[in-house]
Amino acid sequence: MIRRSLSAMAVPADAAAIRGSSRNTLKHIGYVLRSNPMTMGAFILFVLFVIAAVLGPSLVPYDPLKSDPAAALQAPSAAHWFGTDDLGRDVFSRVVVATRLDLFIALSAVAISFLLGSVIGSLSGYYGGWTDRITGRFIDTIMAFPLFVLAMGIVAALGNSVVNIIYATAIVNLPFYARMSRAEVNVRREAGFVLAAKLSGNSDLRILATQIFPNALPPMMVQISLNLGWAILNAAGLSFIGLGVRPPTPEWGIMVAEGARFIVSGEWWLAIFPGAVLMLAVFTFNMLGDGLRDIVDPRQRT
Amino acid sequence: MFRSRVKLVLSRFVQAIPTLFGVIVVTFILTRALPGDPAVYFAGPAADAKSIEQVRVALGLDKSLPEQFVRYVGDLVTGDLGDSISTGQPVVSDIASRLPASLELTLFALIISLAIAIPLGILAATRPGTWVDHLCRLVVTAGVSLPVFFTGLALVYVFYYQLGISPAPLGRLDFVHFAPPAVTGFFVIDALLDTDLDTALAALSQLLLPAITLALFTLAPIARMTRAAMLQVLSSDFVRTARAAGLTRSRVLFTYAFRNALLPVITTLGMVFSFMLGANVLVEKVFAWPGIGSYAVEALVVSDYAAVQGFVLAMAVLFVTLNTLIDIAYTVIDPRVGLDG
Amino acid sequence: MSTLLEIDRLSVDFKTRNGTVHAVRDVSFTLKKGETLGIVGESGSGKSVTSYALMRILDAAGFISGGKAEFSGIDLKTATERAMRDLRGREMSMIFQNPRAALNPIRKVGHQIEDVLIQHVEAVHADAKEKAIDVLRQVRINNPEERYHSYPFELSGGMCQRIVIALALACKPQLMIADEPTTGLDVTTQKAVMDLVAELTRERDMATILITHDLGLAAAYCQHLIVMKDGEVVESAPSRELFTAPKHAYTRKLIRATPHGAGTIRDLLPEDVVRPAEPERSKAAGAAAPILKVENLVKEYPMKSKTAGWFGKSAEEEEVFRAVGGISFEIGAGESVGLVGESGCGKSTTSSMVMRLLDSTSGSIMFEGVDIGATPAGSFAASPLRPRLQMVFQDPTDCLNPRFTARRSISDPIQAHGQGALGAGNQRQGRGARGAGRAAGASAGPLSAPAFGRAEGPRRHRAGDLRRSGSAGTGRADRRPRRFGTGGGAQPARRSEGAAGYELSLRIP
Repeated sequence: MIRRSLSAMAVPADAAAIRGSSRNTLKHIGYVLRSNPMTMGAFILFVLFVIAAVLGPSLVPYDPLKSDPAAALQAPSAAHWFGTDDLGRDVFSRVVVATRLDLFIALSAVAISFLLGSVIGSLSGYYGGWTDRITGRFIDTIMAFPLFVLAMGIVAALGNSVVNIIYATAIVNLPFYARMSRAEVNVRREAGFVLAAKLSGNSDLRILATQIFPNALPPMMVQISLNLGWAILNAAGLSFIGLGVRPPTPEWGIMVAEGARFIVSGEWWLAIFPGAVLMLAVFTFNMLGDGLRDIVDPRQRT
Repeated sequence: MFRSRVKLVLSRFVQAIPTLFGVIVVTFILTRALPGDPAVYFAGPAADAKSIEQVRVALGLDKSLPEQFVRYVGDLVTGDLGDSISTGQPVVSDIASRLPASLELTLFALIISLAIAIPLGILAATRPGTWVDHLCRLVVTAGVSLPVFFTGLALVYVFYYQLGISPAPLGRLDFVHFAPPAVTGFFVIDALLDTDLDTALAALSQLLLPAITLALFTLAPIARMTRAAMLQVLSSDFVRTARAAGLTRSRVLFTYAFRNALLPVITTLGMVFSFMLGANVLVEKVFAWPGIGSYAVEALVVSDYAAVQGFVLAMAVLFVTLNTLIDIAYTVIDPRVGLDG
Repeated sequence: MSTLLEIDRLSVDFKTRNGTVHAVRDVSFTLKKGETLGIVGESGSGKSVTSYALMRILDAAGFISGGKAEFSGIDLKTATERAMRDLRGREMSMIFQNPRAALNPIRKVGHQIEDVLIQHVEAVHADAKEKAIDVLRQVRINNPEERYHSYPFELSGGMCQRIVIALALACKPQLMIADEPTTGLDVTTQKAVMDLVAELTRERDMATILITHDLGLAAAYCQHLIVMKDGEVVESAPSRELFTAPKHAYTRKLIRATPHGAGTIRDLLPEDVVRPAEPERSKAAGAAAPILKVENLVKEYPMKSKTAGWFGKSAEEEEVFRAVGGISFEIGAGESVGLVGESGCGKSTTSSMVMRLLDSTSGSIMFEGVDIGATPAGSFAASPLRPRLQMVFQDPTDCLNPRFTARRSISDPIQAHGQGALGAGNQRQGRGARGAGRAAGASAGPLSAPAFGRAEGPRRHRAGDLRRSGSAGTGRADRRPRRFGTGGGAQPARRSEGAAGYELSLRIP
């Protein structure tokens, strides 16, 4: 208690500023959420997905892997909300449990490509010259492939596993972060405040880290959110064509692929429920990204 | 002026060369990064040590990597992508025979998507806050969230199983009809050229659902960019000048605004093609469409690496070509291109 | 003479997400044929909005909310869109600032003129080209036949403005509104453009409204002036009267801020503020060794030759672009030196080299007898001389990190340099800055309310002013004009009001 009041006395202006800024930020986020019901909805869905990912296996009514031939291909009912599949497994349980794996793949892939991409992009944006040309060539080469096709090729070459799905998704996402951070850093390289920071004796790397990069972060955050949706789609697409996740592991893409056979005979719930949840997850991240864009820069609303 | 344009267009082709080289390097790396020993793999499951060694020498895997690369490029130049294990045919001929199916699907989807997305984007930009604008918003946000394989299956369920107005999702033609004599390789066009209206309609009805699936997916980015570009251009200084000069609304909208807004839309098309060629694979699998996408998926399942790599390379070459065409279109429309560096 | 334009208590509102904004309130004036009227005010004063309202080209959110606006008997408030379209370009036209952006970038300028001619049936397709070239000739464009085929990006700013004028005058309107027509043009071009506008409107006996923030410009070209502030007219008078007997305090401030022979930077202070005493001029100025001595400073940039072959070196001819060509000057203690020139003349490059932000190609920069030019710009950050060479920048919003609070913006450099590195005189400055920082931290708070925010213009401006006045307050400025030799692009200085916070600071205009 005493210590706290001492430190508060020592830096009154700072503390007030920080309090003020975080309060204002919260207020602003609150305002954006309230004035935009779509973002609010997306935020609630996001929380639900996180809960499903963390607690999923302990929440579900049935073991997602346990088959029950007697209860095969049952339509949605009170006992089986999303029906059962051809082996009698509960589709709802499988869909909920799959959340963790799908989000894990997408999050790790995006984290890798964000970290690598922003370092590569910032350096080439700040230093230009040879650094820029080499990384630019590298990025262009990745972008010369249709991204999903390249991801297929990478998984085929590295081997069919979940980890390789993550790597493949990370590699095909890398260019977005590299290009974005390069552009964001590049426009600020000659900004007045950067020159001013140079005049006050900051080294290049310090300026890049403390002055320029924090300014590039907000648009990158928006990109991350939008990209997460795409990464989920990408991973699910790969497992839909039989890469990465192996049955019987519950995963949305593979569940849709397995259920596809039954669409033409009318057992729609096998494919439609995991597909719809997958769509909802992607939609959530896209809406969240749009909402985040509003928070970051109200003028960029499109 | 005209001359320098021609020169610029030619230089676009030249610029594609290093990109193609990069593509070849990457596919080479992918072939050499195969899990395990490629020689063991290509020799087949029944091979003994001696025959594996023969395969190794035959494939040049005993040489250094640069030598292997030269050999790889040499093979590519002569059109040798290896043989497919599953079909027993050269990969090149497999891909060549299946490519028209993929192109027909992709192009048809692109036409549908452009025909809807561009008017939608323009209307949304010129009538902000109206129902068109809200529709555009919905399409744009929902469209990018749709997994193509999911939309495809949902469409099949509704239009085939429930309503029964669509044929079974099993390829380019049902068993009643025969493929028309190949001219373009596009069944609908070939059947029309053959004045076989019945087959043309049958091919079209098979094509419609997968093409709509693919179009729904690409609708969103095009509509989004059209709307954003139109909004930006409509608030620009030169549109204000045109209005202040008393030009009619349609003239301002099309001659002044739209032509300028087209430039960022064309740029977006590059990204759209990237998504489209990827989504193509998934759509082909859902509709059992006999294109190169489903070929690659089948090959992946049986670990037919030569086929997969051939597919990746073919797609990349196709994509580079499309991007070059986009660049050229841009060069033709925008007089500023190429003069500032 | 008959009244051409009659505006009575005109108000313009904008509907925004945060309610209605009254952009223009109760503006009244009349304009007769052949008259010239100047509307003067700073940005946001509503002067442009007034003119857009007359042309009815406001954004969708803006509308005339009250008052009367009549153009030769036509009510501009209620006229149909079709009637307005006939008026625009044909009866009343407009030229804009930033002429290059005001032209369609991907349409030949000749075709853009044709569009207007054909729209107002001044030409048909058959003779449109001929008439368009004729219009180009009237705005004194050389080689109009050739220029007809040009795109805006191929023309200079001044040339583009002539095209915009040609567009506006093509159909011989009775009223022309010129909205900041010279902003963004170089000084020499500005005069040519204004003279052309004046001459053409006089020839045709047109009425002109000149909208500008530059009182001097308006006074030179207009018979009558209106001063606007915050959407309202604060003063309206004939030009001469307004200058000799300004009634409103704001007008007086504007007049003082207008550059004239004996003006000083202190004229910009508010009227009721106690002015600090004029800084003492250094007696020893010039006598002692100069603080800064620049000799034969050269900056060249390599340009890749366009004939260069595919594989680089084979056909490469090294061509260089000379940004600064051998400039020499010196600055003594207590002196200020102005570096004057058009954009692109090399003045910014020179100051960047002196400040060690940029390496020079050749020449020496001696600062207090040390050749600082020998230290590469990249490693000068660590030099003990770093805190002693400082700079004030052009755009205050650009030179403050948008994610830093005012306090941090000021305290960062102090921490970076460390107190030990600061000289005795600069410690005072440091304290001043810290004082200012504390004040800013308390009053302005964080620069941007949301942690990610960017759109907090006014606050950043305030911080920018703080910073600038902080350095001007403790500075020692000497107004002694001084000439120096130039070997290259930069023009010799005439006089300047340097803001010298540190021992040497250059201000880039």
